[in-house]
Amino acid sequence: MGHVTNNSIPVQAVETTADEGHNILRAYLVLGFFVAVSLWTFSVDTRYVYLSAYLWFGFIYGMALQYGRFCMASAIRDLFAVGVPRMAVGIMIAIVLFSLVSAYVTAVGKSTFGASPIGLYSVIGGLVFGVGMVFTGGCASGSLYKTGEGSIAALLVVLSLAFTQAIFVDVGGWLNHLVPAAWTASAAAKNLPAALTPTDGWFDQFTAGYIWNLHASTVGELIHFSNPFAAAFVGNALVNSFLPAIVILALIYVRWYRKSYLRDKSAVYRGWRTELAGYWSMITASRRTAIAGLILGVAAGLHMWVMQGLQQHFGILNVGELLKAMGHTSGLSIQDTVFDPGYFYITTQEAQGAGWILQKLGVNEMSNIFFGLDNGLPNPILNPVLWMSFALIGGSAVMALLNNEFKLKWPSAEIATWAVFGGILMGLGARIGLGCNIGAFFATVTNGDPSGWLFGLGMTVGGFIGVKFFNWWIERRMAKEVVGLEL
Amino acid sequence: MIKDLTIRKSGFLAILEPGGFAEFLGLRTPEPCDRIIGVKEEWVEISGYGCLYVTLSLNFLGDTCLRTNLLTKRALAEAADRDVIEIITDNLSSVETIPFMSPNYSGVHLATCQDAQCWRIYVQKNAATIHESKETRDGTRDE
Repeated sequence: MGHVTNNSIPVQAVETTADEGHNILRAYLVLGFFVAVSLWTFSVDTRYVYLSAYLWFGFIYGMALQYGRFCMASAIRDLFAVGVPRMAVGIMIAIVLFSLVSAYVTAVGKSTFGASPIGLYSVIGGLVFGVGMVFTGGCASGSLYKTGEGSIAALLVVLSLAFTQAIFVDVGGWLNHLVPAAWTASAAAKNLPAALTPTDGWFDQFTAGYIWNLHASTVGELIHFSNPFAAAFVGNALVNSFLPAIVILALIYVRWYRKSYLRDKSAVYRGWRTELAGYWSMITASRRTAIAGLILGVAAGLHMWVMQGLQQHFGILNVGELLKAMGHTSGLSIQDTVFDPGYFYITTQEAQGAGWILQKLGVNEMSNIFFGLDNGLPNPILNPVLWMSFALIGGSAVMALLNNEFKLKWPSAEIATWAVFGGILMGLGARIGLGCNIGAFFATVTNGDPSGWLFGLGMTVGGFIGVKFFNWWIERRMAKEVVGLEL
Repeated sequence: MIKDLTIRKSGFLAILEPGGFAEFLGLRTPEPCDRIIGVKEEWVEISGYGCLYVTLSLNFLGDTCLRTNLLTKRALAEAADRDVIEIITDNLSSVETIPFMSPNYSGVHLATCQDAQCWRIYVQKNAATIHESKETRDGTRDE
């Protein structure tokens, strides 16, 4: 028997085995690889520091996500399936902290964030994404960090999600029949470059004919504060992040935590004091999750600061300009840009990786708006945001190895099927919702963009539907398959 | 006494299992089982907790967190008072969640032990407090 813990005691190392020594060595090897990549590229051209910045923030995200088992699928699923608010609370902590750091970064003019349009598409995209992430057992960021833990099922989710997006943004044919005529007309009226085919393909017409017609704004901008600090801290952080997070935590407390807290508490009930103590007890119940939320929140805010600082240092607005100056012109969009959000993001860079492969296989992926006009299809070796994803996997692997939690896990056919199927739904949801649980929710609500809450609403409803379906599925399978187990 | 129980393949996804398509077409005799869940009644020594008399062992190696959590919930709901359930899992999310979900289903999380390839989580049904469950254990150990 190895490490022993109970609910109130953190995991402790009780035995030291030969495997633990090997794991530490492996962890240093992974870390050393990323250090070598950073140093070598920097020695070739100092401008690679821009890509390395993404890399190291990805590494930090990976370590924090793995340490806290931080997964939005888990947050929604555990609430609805087993009544555990641990992860939902951790996410709210991260949202509050990220919003405060973001507010400061925005107020001093260092933010790289751009608000998404506000519309029903966020709810629908979130819903499809939410169902998919419950089927796969992990959200977009969760699947990446679980890949770092050695889960092949999670890797399947990432691949499925990536290729689904790359195919979905380019596919036309019968899907064109599902496009409202108004979208087609509006897309045609945009007079886009001839290299693009904005009236062929569902996603192109959705983007140019619908999304571009919607209004995008942060709460700080909507309230029309003249003082940038007031706009950032009151509008974005307080109104759009802090207050909703507190209200959601209060709802979670009342619905899922209060009863068990009051039942277990031996002291006399003292009204609001007891309630506040219970509220605090819920927030601090999982130290591991709270710490991960804290690190993620602060790191995500600092990430924006650093990327904006580097953009100002190099005098660029997009890394495409940097790549072009370095002689890497292949894969740039028509506008000489590539995807460069400047903050924590997951799905678009994965779509780029898949799109690059499809392009190499002969599919013309550059004729659509998503790749051809906006995000480009750079070689994955030169894709800065994909560096972040790879490093996130690496950071997670290092943390898992250091804690002897790394294990190469091959999925059963059933789990692989769910991973691929759920990944497809996640890919579709991510494109319809213009992002995933990170890009369309976490990074969005924390930067004052109300569209993030719409995606979050859809994701929660989708998660609820997914849990109900899975519950039914498991009950059905158990009834048929378990022999003699009298549960 | 250890009595192993099994899960049989079924459902449309079973045709994706190795040999499953042939089984589906009736060209191959189905395997009797593909893995063991297991019911066992045995003493387990846990550092810091002494001996626990485990009445049910659930093996969720390779399973998703949702399946692990839902089946643990079901096992807790249907276990008898004072039963100790051992949950074997390699899913870290479940390792983190099960101790928190146990009180919602009249369970008390006793311990989580990390082995080389998995975690073993011990939960007792309707042990009002940890102290009570310790007393119970001490009592049974003296017998």
